[in-house]
Amino acid sequence: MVLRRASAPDGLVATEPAESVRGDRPTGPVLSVRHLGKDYGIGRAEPKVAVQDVTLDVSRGEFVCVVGPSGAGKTTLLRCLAGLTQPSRGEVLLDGQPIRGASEQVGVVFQDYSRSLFPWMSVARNIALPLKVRGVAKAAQRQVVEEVLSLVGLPGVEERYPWQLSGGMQQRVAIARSLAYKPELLFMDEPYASVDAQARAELEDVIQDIHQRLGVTVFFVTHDIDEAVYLADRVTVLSGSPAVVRETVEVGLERPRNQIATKGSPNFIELRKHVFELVAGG
Amino acid sequence: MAQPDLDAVYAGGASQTSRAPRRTRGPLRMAGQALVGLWLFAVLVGLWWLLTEHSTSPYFPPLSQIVSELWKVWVFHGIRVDLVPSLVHLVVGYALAGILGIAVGVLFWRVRVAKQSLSPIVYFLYVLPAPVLLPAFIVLFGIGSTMKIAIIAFASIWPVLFNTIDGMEGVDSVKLDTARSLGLSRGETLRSVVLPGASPQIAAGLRNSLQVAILLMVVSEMVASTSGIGYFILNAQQSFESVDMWTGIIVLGVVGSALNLIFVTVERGVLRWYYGERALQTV
Repeated sequence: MVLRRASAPDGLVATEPAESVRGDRPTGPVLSVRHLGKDYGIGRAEPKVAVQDVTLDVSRGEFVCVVGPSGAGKTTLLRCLAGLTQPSRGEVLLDGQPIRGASEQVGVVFQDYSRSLFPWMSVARNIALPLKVRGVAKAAQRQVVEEVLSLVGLPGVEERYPWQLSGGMQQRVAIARSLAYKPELLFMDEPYASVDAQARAELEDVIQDIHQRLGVTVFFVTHDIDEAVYLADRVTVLSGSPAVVRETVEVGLERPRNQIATKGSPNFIELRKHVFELVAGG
Repeated sequence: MAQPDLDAVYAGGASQTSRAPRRTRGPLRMAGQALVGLWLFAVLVGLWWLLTEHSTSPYFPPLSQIVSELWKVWVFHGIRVDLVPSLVHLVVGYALAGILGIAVGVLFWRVRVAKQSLSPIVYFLYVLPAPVLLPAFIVLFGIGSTMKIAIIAFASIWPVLFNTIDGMEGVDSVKLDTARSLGLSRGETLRSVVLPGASPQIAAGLRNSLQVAILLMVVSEMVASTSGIGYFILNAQQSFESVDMWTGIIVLGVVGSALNLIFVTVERGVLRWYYGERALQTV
């Protein structure tokens, strides 16, 4: 049994020391969230509380999955952390600094790739856009585009348009684009919820491979418990609406993980059962 | 969304616009399509020709006579004297409307205050029917080219302006979030995301504006004017030259169709991505 409880159910998470600190980067958690809350409809008779009180830390290079019942405020939480929505309460620290809007060190992959990719640009221009606005030279842009496309297992589609690709391929392009400017931290909001099961398994291995090779920190929101346990170093379980952290589950499964062997192992099944009970109990 | 057959899509490439990728797009097929589209038109013109052949009515002269007169009056003299000046007014006025319409739309998007304070004025001007402003424009600009260009621009700015505003407001929020997360500034977001995203609707507005511009080109020449195709038609009618009047109407129809054809061709090219994406979604 590899299950360790790193948190009390009241939502306070004990900070884990960073396991794989890379090079000259500062130590300590890359992302610290303290008593974060988000209300909608402030000023109305009954404002809706989307996120109640979330406290968590994400260590450098860690793969954190967030699961919870639908409507638990997972997406709202991610949007607050990625700087796309202003939280109502609490604070979000990125490398110890309070975030102000969308950060240069952060990448976001959205669920709906067809809405996130720009259909008027070729795949190459989609991926090069964040480089172009950072003043990267044309030749260097082309090189990065080629690199990230092969990283997501999609070489040679530079001149295609996103809508000429299948759903799974489009999401690979979106992932490649979010990696182009080498963010430290990658937020993924139910990224695989809109693709079919086969493509989903492939995409899970794509992001696992990227996490291993680049050492990028991943904050991955999903409603799929199997997916969360398969991918994560730690699974944070949110309670139902409004969101508080119910429990954080350490996943000690060894890497690289394998769709068949890992998902069939007794440890995996035990972890999945535990997370499922936590989610269903919410 | 149904998953398209990828091989068929790749074969068609980016210029894929057909809704049924399996069919061929050879010249034979295109000729066939043209035939299907034009047969009724051809039949009606034929009927017109036959039924008026022995007409002695001063109002319905034989089409054969109209056609031969059309050749005499319009090719090359009429085109130079009456058509070209009208088209110059049209092109300049329409271009002004397009540029100003998009520019004001952009201003409204970027500067909230501008939208709030200018909207009432814009809507007040919009509800005024442009032809009734002709007297005022004559007072302001005289009866020359300036007045005609001004009234064409004034009347045709509204479709492109309102479509630009609407299209820019309607850009997908996920695309705007994406732009922010990729680190695009507001100017870059405007250039790379909002304007391209709104471009199909802006094009629809430009197309409506073209119709209005043609309308006002003719109307502006029917008041206090001594040249132009609108003047030619009105003058022919008033001096009982109904053959000439009909030639003017036919020329106007041909010119309008040609302008529309040019517009659609350019639009299909510029918005290739839009028609390509839409064709796939409806397969």
